[in-house]
Amino acid sequence: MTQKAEPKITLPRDAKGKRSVFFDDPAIDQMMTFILELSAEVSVVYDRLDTMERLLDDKGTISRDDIEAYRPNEDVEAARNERREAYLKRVFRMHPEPGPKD
Amino acid sequence: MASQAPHGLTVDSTHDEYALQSYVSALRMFTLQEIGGGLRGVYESRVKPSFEKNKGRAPKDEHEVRHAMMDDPYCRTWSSMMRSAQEMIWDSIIPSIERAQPDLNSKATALAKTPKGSLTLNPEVDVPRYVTASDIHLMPGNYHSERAPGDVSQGALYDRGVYVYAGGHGGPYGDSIGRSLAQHLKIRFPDFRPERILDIGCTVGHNILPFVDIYPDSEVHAIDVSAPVLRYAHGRAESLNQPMHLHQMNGEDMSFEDESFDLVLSVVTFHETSRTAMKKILSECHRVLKPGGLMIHMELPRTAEMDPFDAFYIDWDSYYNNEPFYQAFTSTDLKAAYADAGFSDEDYMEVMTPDVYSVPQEIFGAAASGPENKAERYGRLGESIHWTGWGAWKKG
Repeated sequence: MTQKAEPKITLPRDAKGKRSVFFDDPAIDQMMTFILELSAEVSVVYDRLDTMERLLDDKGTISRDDIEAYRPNEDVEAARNERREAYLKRVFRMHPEPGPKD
Repeated sequence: MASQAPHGLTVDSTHDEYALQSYVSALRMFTLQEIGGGLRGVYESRVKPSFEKNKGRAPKDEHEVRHAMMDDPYCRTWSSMMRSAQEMIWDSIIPSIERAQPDLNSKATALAKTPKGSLTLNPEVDVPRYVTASDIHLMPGNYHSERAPGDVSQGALYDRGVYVYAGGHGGPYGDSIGRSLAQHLKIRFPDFRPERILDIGCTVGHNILPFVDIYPDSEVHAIDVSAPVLRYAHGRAESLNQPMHLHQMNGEDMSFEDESFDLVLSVVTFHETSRTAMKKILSECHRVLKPGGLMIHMELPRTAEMDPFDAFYIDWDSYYNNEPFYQAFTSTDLKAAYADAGFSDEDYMEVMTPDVYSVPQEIFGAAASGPENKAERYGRLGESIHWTGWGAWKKG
């Protein structure tokens, strides 16, 4: 039996307007996006792992649905934020600022 | 990131989308504050000395600071991160909205069926070029794009995006500027009891909703040029049982009667318009205000009194975050612009208030009721959040 589905709505992914380039070689700006996106993936995986560990601590055995349904409470979110900040500090460690040029 | 307060049009996210949004929020804050916090040192220790060595003088304005700073690797790295992080905000939210559709549009339509407030759309309203030319804040599709009848997608994207952007610092309803302003006015002018209030450029209604709370006897109206955000604002307000009257209208040419409002306000609207539009909106504000009424616009700090480095920092978004009028606005002489619109110099007033969510009530109240009616200092974001506004009373 076929049911008439309403048309799917897709949203644009890119902002209209010229994209800023900050480095002489735009490939470095492109790399920056790759690096930040990768850093986000690691953080998401960490949260998922943290969710699993917390659920296992509580219940002993869990399902995927348990993970999907889990939302951090205030304390857990605070602990995660602390972990994220330490992670950001480690990964995005700026080189020490040198003094005046030459 | 603290939890956003739910309402009738809240979009559900998966476990991992939620984790991603929380991270993107932390990443943007970290880039802004931790890495951005090093910019002044970079400027003082190497950019400025090197400029002085070449030119025999210090940079004279923010433009010279910007050109010099944007040659520096530290500032380039910070800027590139800020830009990518801003793009990631929208990217972290868009899939959840696509998944919520078309049900989300149906929910909005259902909420609009038996309203306590109202929604008046007018397809005749031309969306101005300052909205269509580029996507403000890099939000793909901006405020006005729609892909189906009754589409609210851009409203949902903006609602969640602003929350992720501010890391929840705007309060659970993202209303910190509006709530701070409403509380401030209530304490500072206890005898001012507006019967009709108007917000210009309301988007999803974040900052006008607190006026429904704080001035419960007033009739609250809000306008915007973009239908998707208005539909969303309507559904959101109805579901929160804080009804108001929303109109698709351009602030440059409103169809309200002369002298029909006691309070006309806007919250961070002007810097997304244009110089010509600003003049027209100010004249319209004067026209629709009743004698004795108050006009007030909450906006970005003025750069005129700042040192060139701070002005460069404040105006960075103008050049790299698709806010083309930002710099021109922050350097505009508002007192003169208000005078051109018909307000007298002696009726000019300013608001500088601490953020209502960031300080205890007694400190907030003292700032509003003190002799200066002002907080001691202001910043943009960070530990000490303050909001600034410029207004004028219309001659009674």
